[in-house]
Amino acid sequence: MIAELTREFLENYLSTDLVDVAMPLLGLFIVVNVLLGSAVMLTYAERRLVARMQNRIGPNRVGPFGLLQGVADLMKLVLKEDLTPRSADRLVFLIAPILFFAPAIALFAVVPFFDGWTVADLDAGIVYVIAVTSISSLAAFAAGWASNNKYSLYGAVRGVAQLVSYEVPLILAVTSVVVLAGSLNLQEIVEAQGIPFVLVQPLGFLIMLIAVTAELNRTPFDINEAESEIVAGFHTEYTGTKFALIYGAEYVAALGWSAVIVTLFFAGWKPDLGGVIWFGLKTSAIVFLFFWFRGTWPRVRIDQMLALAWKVLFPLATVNILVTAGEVLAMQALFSLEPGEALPTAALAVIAVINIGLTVVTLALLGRVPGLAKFDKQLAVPAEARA
Amino acid sequence: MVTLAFFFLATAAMIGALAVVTARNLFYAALGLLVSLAAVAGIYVTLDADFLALAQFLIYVGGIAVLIVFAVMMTAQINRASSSHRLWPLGLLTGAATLAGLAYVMINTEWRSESRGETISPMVGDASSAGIHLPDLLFSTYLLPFELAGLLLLVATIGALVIARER
Repeated sequence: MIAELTREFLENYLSTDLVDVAMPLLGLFIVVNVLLGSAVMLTYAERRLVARMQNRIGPNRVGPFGLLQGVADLMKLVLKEDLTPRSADRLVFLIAPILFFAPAIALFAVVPFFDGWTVADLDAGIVYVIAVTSISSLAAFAAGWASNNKYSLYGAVRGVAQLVSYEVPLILAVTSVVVLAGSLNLQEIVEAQGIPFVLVQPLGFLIMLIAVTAELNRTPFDINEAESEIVAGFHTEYTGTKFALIYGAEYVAALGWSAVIVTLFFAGWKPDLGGVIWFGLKTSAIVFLFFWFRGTWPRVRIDQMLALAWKVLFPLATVNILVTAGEVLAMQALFSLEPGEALPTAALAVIAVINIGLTVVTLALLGRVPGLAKFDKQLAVPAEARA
Repeated sequence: MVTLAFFFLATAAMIGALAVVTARNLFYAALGLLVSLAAVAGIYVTLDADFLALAQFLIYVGGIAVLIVFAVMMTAQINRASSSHRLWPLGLLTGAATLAGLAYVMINTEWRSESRGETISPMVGDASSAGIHLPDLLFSTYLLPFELAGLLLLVATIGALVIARER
């Protein structure tokens, strides 16, 4: 509706060809600027919320309730001197923050904000999400390596190990949703959700949530910038605008992944209650979850983190795909559907009941699997060192 | 527009490829490879092969390039490039042979073209749209090569584990 009105308005002044070019650019302009604004506000929101959880007050001086704190911080960072260490690799040092920021923004190209509101409605939308975000491990490594600082390099090495490990359960969790929806297109995945997939795929949702937390380098998985161990990890040497880019990219990426989680598991913009606002509220709720994690959990050790990815999440996600595929096949036989046809709500409800039961049983039994319960103690301090 | 995009991407791919072979710094070579592979993915987009482009990006840029970076990470004295170029005649020979093979295939292939009224079907589509479905092909016509590729990867993985194992 708004798109059509804008188009009519523009056609008064420009030729049709130009409007065809201008419309996507206008959409891009709006999306990118809303994102940057949100990232600035999210830095404030996180500080206030985490302060609240830790029984502090948080920033409350700049503007009403401190709302302009993010703007003030950004101004400070942009006006700061842009330092490059003398021994750094200048070119890569410059490219890394851009490499970091670009995929976070590019992620939003396929996010369906509302029915038909997508910048690029790709057939393989979810593959695009995974492909684009896979650059972030490279960006983190480039930043750490180019800084020529041992703490940066430690952070970078940790970051690459972490991102590569958690990409596997992440993709597998996404695959189980794709199997259910029968489509890679995010708009179609939203439409396939007669019941939000968080109920149909509770285990997939938990795996995805954990993997995304790791993918975003957020607490409890922020070991590649663990300030108590390695200063600030891969971005130790960054200052001014470049630091602002890296810092902002983390918030934009958090927003992006939350939007993807909402699309995959919380039925996206459905049910239609006030358009894009509903989608925004759901996304904010997921972002709040990430803030909540940070306010609640201490950081894990690197060996615990990698063990969790490979020994727990990876097998669970694999089994989850097999179970889901079996259920979809059974439902297709039961409701006599053509392969690829969307599952009716009744079929989804049956799968939901089975999967919720399976998830509860799995989570209850997980701690009793031999070998898993002990992974906390693997790097136990030797007896002689303890004394 | 598409032609312009093609030349832009092709130039980027060439520059990236040149950087791979000429850069003294191993990390720059890895970045050059990244640019080159990403540009090739872009060329796939101009050919309407969206899925292929995304797969190229996911596997080569997100996977292979990261693995190469891993290798760079483990390399001591990264800034000193390998100084021996004694094998260059062999390299030249291999390169020429590959180029000749590719050129032969390109010239002798009957390319489908929309301008001649032939339809170009998308490689993947949803079940409703007509098109060749990648999974159908992979699990029927090309099942043997597909399984062989899987076996090869398994052998490579086990081989790598055996070599890297601590004794």
